Amino acid sequence: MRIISRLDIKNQSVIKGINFEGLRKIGDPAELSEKYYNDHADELLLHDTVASLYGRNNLFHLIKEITKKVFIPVCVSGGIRNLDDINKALQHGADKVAINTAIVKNPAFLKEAAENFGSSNIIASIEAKKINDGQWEVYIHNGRDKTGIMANDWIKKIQELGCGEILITSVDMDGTQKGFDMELLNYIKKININVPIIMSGGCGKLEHIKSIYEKFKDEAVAIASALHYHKIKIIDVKKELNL
Amino acid sequence: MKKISIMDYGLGNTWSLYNSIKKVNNNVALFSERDGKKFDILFIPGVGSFAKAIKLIKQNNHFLEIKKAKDENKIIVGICLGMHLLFKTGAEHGINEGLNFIDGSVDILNNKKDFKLPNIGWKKIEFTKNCPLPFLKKFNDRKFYFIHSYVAQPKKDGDIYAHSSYKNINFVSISGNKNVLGMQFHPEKSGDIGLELIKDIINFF
Repeated sequence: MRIISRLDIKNQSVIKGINFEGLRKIGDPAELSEKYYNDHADELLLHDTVASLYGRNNLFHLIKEITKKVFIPVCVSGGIRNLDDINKALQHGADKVAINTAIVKNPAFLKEAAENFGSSNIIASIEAKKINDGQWEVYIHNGRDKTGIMANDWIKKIQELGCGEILITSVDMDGTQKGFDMELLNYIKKININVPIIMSGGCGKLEHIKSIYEKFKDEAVAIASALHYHKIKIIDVKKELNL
Repeated sequence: MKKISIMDYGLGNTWSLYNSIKKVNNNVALFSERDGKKFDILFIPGVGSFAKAIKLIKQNNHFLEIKKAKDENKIIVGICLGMHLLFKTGAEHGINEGLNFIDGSVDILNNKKDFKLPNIGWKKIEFTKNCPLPFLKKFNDRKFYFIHSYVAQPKKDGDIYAHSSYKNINFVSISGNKNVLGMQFHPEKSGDIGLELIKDIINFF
């Protein structure tokens, strides 16, 4: 299992809210990136929380600084809208990009991205919110706007289009530290998924990671709050799970 | 200090490799820069497809330049897709001819329909008895970062230096032949242990 440290960034600061709201400042992205790298994170996920909404991307220079000191894969997320954005992200030292809003608006972009940069560089990101028993809806603009697209249909589609990984963030559990959205994970596991999954949202303690590891040891988890609020250390998780 | 060059042919994480090499050896340039043409060691990175990579390399005339460097006994180090390019043929998006420094082909790791690919994550490497580079053996059983769907399959056992496994399938994680070395994993993305490996490779050759 891969343990990914997730940094949600707004206006050059790492922030964190609950269910994408009530954002609190956590700290400096470069300092925290180095801290989690030294804590043996397998990868970093840097997510610009307002980029897609405001139609901009502010992370490139930060990525350039971070990747001079951090030697694990770095994924950029938020506001990736076209091939030029992907190219810029890679030129600044990123290894992968995660895309949500732009591929929901234009699914052909995912295909184009995978063909141009290779599937393994392209993560399809999904923000999923439960709408009723047994169904989750895809949200865009950082959990702000609903799309009417059901998560299970979307997961089939993005695989056909060629994504290399799927990042699934539970809007309902994000920031709560009450545990990963196991219901959502069980729901998506019923779909035939042939690419690695990164589960995000809700991690608050080591037991939460253990519960994913026991069922889905080949998948990855992204952790934010639990690291920011010193609830866990990645190095301890790795020892405990023998990773 | 040895001169390092990175083949920047338009595909792959050139800058992330550049940053890692820079960390252990200050004398590094991109091949497309003026300083990049004279080197002791040439790193070939690569993320993407074999077909597209080899097309770009041929387009830019790099194919002949890499072959010339190999003939002049320069060290050629391929990483991930860069390793694949060292082989005779690749089967990713049709059969394509590679640099042919190592006899063998590049094929999909497993073609079963429900087999999860790419293989992403940290895996141990285990050296074979054939590995002619003793300095590498201190990395035996250490974990490195992999992200790939295709694997190189050297024809000769002597060209297989190390193995790794994913879902109980063994594959070649380091291959080489004389002044050519290929790694399936990404040492530049494998934290401190990866930097140490890059440093040792540069120092040894």
